[in-house]
Amino acid sequence: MNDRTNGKNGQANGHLVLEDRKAQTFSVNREVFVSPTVFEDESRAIFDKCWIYVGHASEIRNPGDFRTRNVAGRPIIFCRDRQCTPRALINSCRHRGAIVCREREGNARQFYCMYHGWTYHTDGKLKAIPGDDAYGEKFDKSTLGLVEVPRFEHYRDFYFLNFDRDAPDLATYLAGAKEYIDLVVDQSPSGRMEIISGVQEYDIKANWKLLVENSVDDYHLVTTHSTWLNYMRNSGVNISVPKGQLLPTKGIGKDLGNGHLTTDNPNYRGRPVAKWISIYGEDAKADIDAIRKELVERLGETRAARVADTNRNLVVFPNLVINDGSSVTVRNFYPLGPDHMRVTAWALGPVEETEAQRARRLHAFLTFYGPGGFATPDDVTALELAQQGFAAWREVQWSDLSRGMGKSANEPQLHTDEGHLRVFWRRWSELMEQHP
Amino acid sequence: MTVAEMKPGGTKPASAKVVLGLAECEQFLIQEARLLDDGRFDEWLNLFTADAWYWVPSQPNQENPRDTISLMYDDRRLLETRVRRLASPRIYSQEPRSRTSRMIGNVTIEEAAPDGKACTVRSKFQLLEYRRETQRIFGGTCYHHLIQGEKGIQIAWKRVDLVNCDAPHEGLVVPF
Repeated sequence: MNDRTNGKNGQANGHLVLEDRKAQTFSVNREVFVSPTVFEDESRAIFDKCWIYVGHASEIRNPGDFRTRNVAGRPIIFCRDRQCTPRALINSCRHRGAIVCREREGNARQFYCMYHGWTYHTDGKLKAIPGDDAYGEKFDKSTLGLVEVPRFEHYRDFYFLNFDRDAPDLATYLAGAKEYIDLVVDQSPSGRMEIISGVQEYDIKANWKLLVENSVDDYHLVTTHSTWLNYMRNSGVNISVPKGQLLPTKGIGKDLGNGHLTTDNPNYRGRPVAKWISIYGEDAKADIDAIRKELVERLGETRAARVADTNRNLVVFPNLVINDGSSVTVRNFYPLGPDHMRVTAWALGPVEETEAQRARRLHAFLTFYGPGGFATPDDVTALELAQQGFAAWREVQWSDLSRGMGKSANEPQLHTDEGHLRVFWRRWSELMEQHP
Repeated sequence: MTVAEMKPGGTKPASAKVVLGLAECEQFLIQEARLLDDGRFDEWLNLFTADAWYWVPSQPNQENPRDTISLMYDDRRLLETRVRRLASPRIYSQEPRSRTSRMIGNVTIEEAAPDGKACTVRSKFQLLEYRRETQRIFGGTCYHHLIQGEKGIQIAWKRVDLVNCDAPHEGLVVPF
């Protein structure tokens, strides 16, 4: 791998991502997973420039509802103000900096700083300062509200922020990813999906970009997750692999523009909306059929099949993943350092779901995902082993992502190829190289 | 929270005539912990009834596993899968295997059937887990619904409330 350098001292003329179309190779320098400098540069070049996921409208349903979360390293209050407008406020008192909203979630009439008692309305405006007669005449309280993030927009209830005032609007940014978000939202008869209560949080001692790769990498499924596939087989699901394939169905990996990407696979794992498998039990058949029927009536046969018979793992660049398969997962992750990340995962479902349908969805979600799931712990292990291997990044410099590069332009890149992973890396490299 | 609020499913009627006392329950929990520490997961699985469930909530005072994400919520079939997975050489999150040490204490009977053939037992536990140079400590409250069946005492349901249930967790692969 070390021969994939075209500069002195293995620096490849400073490039960290190398695409050699002639040799049909694509390489990523492992320095990107370990370097504190790269980590610092990413904060500015990527997380301060891109639209970053904040939360879903269903998490702040009522006036005064709030969630506090860390978004791209900043403490953020994601809330609906008393006038019903969704907001993303920076959770730091304008006086001396303390966090003003200290709960993870709840409903507030106001935000009160416990340090000196400055109080803010839920729209961020400063409400009261104890002893405000001590300030001069020109002291302007109207300019001292909680700071709103520079840009805050949503697409179909998924809220994003941008710290770059000059960024293009969210819809333009999302490009082809919109079509795939639509396929998720279309699963609800009223077009309203909701975050299901509860959350999975876990840490991985690995670089955050490894989880981007892992979330859409169907090449690893058979090897890393053989115990999960055994569960499928033992439950009566057909997981036989046709000759010449690595997985039971043949899907594609797709470039959605602006660094976004997805897999797009015929389903074999069952879908709550709406594809029955034996795991759901015989008594769920009629229910799934009814969901399917509603889908066909509302969307037509073709669109219904598109929604209900295909799975997709979508990456919205840089760090939002929506896995739409045997359940719908919304997964967000941040680097805590070059070799450490914090993952937050929610389950998403149509607001119309009955208790039985919801239980079925959560059953599938928990079976695969999360710290107690049958797949996630093995993914975490794979990523941590990779990170440990990167300790030798000076000696073994390049990771290989060349699968599928031998294909002609009109041949599709498969989900088990790495064409869609290269989409992420090209965009990552572009933004990092633009950074002064 | 009452015991009735803690269980999402109905309880199972008992059949045999032996009365479950505190000493029997405590001995049973110690034996269960021992099977888990010794990695005898098949034998542990055999302690559960055919329609048992096993629940580790993700939220303090979580009311329901059906409308809120849990850390684990297994029916008997998923519990079997969990145990089968533990036996596989390809469970890479258990390579190498965890070593565990459990302490059970403060055992009380919270609720008992009038005939003494079924009861809900509350206990405190501490679990040390060591794997790959990392030691973790878990602790919390367990609820077991025990019944006196044909095969001796069996677990109809088990709920594990971790003190840090809503914390970020690394893999929770060895059952509590």
